[in-house]
Amino acid sequence: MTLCYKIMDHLPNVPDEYVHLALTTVNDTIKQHKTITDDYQDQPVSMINTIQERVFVRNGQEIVSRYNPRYTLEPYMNAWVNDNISREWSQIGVATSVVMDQDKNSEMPSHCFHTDVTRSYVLFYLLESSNSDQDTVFWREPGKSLHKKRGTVPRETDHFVELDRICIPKHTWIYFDASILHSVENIQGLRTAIQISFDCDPLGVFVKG
Amino acid sequence: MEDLPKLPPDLEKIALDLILGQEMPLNANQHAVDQNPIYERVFTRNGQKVLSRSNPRFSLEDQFGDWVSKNISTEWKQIGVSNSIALKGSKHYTGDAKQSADQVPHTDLTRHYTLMYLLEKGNEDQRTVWWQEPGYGLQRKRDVIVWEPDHLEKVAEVIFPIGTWAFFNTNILHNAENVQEYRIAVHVGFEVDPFGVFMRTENDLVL
Repeated sequence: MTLCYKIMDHLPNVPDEYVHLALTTVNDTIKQHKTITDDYQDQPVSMINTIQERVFVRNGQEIVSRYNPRYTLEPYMNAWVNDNISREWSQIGVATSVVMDQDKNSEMPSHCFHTDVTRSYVLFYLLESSNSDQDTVFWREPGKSLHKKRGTVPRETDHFVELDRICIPKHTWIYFDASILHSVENIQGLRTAIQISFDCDPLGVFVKG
Repeated sequence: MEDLPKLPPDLEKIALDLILGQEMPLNANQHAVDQNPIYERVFTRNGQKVLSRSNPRFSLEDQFGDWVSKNISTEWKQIGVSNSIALKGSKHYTGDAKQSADQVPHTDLTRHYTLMYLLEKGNEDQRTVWWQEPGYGLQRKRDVIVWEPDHLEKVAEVIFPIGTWAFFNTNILHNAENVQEYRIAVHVGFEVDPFGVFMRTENDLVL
């Protein structure tokens, strides 16, 4: 069976001070904006991914994807991550799920199928979610490579095959392969997570040693 | 990867013409090699300062992109041709470190896996060697360079044949050793492993 993610419950919980910092960062830099504009990328806290408009087709209908702006926590958390997780990280940040118009949160419940732009693997630590049944789903396009290049965003996805899914629990590290196409489904509002990005697999879960 | 098709002769010629057409070592205005520039890297081996060989790499994406996408994989990130050069005695290096026949052990900056296809080599017994640093995992972040590598533990070693695709993990510390002269190769760089050569399945974890 395809290995898409692993629950890393042996890794230590994030200390409260960093949880608080992450939530404050999100509140200060993201939630004050009602709509997504360029000013998301003009914040005092460095943004470590990019917001691109993504439209995909599901059951014949065009759907606008949610967005996931991510802001750095590296100056604050790097020593803790080095000591407790790994020294091989490439990014440490906090991200939250947003839509173009936050009054329409429930009308846009999906992050469309994609591979990540800035990383190959990610440790994901969910802090807050508006509803407990948000699923991260992994996909494969029949006849195509399982591992896709960075920034792949297919438009037509109805023929894709579901490989696996997980409803990520709060305050638990989940490690997943961000080069396998994945989506997040049924986000009714809030979804905020600390994320540690990797270009390699230092935890030895996905790549043979 | 003997199941992958050999490069057609016309593409081999394009790659060789491109790399052999360069003034080696590159002059100043050729420094902007888009995939791998010339680095002056002095490292310590057996207590002595030595100068690493350099491996500038030039893009072949315009000429090779369609062929690679059709015959190898659509998931490539870079395609280029490189040669191994000595910097000692060139305008790039005026220090007193002795020129080494080896590269300093490193992980790559621009890719995580590469398909390498050796076109020509100056001596038969050029080795590619992989290393692990005690106290660290096998997989390392991008652009790690071990400047004092005597304590590294050898993980694997191979002499790549000419005219055969070899796929390797560039997140593992590695270097080319005993390169006495040239070492010309086509590289297809990847950020993912589209062939699944290095990837585990859930069954692997159970075992």
